[in-house]
Amino acid sequence: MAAKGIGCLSEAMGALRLASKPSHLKTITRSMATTTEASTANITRSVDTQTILNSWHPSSSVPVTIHAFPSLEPTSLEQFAVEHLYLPMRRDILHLAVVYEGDNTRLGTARALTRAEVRGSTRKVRPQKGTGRARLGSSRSPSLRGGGKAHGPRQRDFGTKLNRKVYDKAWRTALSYRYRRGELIVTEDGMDMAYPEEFELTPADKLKFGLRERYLAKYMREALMGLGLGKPDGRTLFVTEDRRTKLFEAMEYAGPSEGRALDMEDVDVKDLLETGKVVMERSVLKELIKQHESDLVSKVVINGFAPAGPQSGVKVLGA
Amino acid sequence: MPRIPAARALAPLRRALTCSNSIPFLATRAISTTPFPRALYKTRDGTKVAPTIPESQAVETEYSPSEEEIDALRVQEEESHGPGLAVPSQLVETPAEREAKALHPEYEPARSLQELGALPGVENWWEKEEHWGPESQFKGFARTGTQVQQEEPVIEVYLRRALVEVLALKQAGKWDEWATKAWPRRGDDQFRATLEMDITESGELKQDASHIVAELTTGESDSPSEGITESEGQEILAERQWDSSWAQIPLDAATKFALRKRVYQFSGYLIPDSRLGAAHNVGHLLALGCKKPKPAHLASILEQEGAYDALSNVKAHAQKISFVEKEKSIGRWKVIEEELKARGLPVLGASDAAPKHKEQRWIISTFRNVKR
Repeated sequence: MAAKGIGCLSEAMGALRLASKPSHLKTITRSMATTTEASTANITRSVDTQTILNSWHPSSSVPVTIHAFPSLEPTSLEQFAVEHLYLPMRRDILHLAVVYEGDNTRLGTARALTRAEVRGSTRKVRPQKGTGRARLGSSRSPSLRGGGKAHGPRQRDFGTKLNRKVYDKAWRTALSYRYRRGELIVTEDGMDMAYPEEFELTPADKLKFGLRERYLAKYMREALMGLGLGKPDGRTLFVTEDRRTKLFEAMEYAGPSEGRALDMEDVDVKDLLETGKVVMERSVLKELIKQHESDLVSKVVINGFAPAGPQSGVKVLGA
Repeated sequence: MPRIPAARALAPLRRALTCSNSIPFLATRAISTTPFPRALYKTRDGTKVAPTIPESQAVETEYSPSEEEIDALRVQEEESHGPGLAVPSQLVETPAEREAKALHPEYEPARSLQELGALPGVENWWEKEEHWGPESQFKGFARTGTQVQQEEPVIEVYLRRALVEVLALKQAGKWDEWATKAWPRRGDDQFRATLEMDITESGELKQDASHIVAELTTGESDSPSEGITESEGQEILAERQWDSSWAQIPLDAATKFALRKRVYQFSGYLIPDSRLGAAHNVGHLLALGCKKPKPAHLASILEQEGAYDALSNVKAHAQKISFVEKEKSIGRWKVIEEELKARGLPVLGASDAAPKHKEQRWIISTFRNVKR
């Protein structure tokens, strides 16, 4: 824990250092602009990727491109609040959330019979004295074969607690982490797979004996590969508002090695962090953010109005 | 591979069961041959192919269907020909033994492996090229089927083209209408035309770009451009020698959106939104939009950096140097090899007679001791 604390501290200090030196960054930019002999390639190469990224401090919102699915054509542009989609990475919060989810997912149904619960007679096995053997009161003693378990597992609730505001922040931190790395692809509402026309025209009785399943598995694998969402890219999680027949079916046939498709209700923080890419509908992203902004929205009502949280999903471009 | 009881040609029975496209095959012990399914398979180009039978399962008595039977199959074949994918024209189903007996009193189930026929299964149906045609290939917005391009020269040329197109649309007053639409790829002529345009420092086109706009706002051409390779990109950069001022052109959100979309269409690389937000000019977008290929091994990184140039006695190898290679490098291996051969010892590896593991050695040594 101490090491983690130091890590966070050094990260914060690093950020402060960067923030306190805007003039240094400006100097670099100006020198690039005034260099006329160098070719374009040289100029661009001299600009360090990290320098550009670190010099960007969006104050209110970040851009999110909305794509059509399955073509992944960018169709519109929206703005999402920084507090929603550009939170700094907090491994500690993510860890808390994943452990909390894991604890609450445990069934806790393991249970062994104690000596009181084991079936059997209550008769004394043999007299207390005079046999020359060890004294034995019950055949259900934990020392005997067939006896009860002394300290066996009992069914119980392994669930732990986590402050609602911390868990909500973990959600948005996970989404922000994905966004920052370019691993969050937002699609238009109603995301579903489109099958080839020829496949749709083929009668169902011609695709028996697993032909249909194998066709869809191959088609989906190739589609994911073409979109950079397949196995070599680290699998993909699709999140939709409700179950989409074609997408869910095709992902099922393509197999877990290609990724998963989940309803919005089934997704948790760990799911968001598992796969290489996360593809979700625009309305799902907005709804998930809305469900997890308790630390940003006050419940206190003043003059009949509760202060609203930051605005997300503001349309900038496109229909 | 599903094995089914093979049957003598039961043409009348088969014809009676042609209500569906599933044809049962029955077997009688009267022939202990292995007939293969006589169903013809339709390929993508419409030709009909009979399934091949593996040599191991080839039979002595070849089954020869009668003309009548072939005609019946062909009629079915024509009927089953319709729109859709290349599918097996007749899927073969085997009736249960009880049904087969009811249908044909002479039926007798096969009692040995040799009497059973083998049918080609449908497990690998879609793996065959003739069944998996262009109609089944996924078509996305970006180029698919090839690797994503992230090389600097390629991205720079695509960015230049995209920027010229954006500026051309702005010049023609059609930007608002076309900013978020899907632009056609058009042919290589359009590619060349866009690269020939000059951009001023203030971010405007020097020449008239109405021909570029005309191409952009019409539909897709018959042979859309497939983009360029890395070497082609380098050639274009060397040839054009664009001055560096275009890298400083400031970008607004709509322009960045259009550039990202166009670059994705040609390269298959989707510049992350977070990076798009951080880019304020074309130079930034180029720096954030391309990625240098990372060498797979540390040895190759060090070699590229020239880490060994100053060290005359240091060499890096991709693999571990074996004993034999060490001896070869100093010229002693020939001598060792000759001496080993002279003593009848294996030159490389252990001989076949040598015990392969410790337990085997123990057994051998124990056995020797007992003998003594």
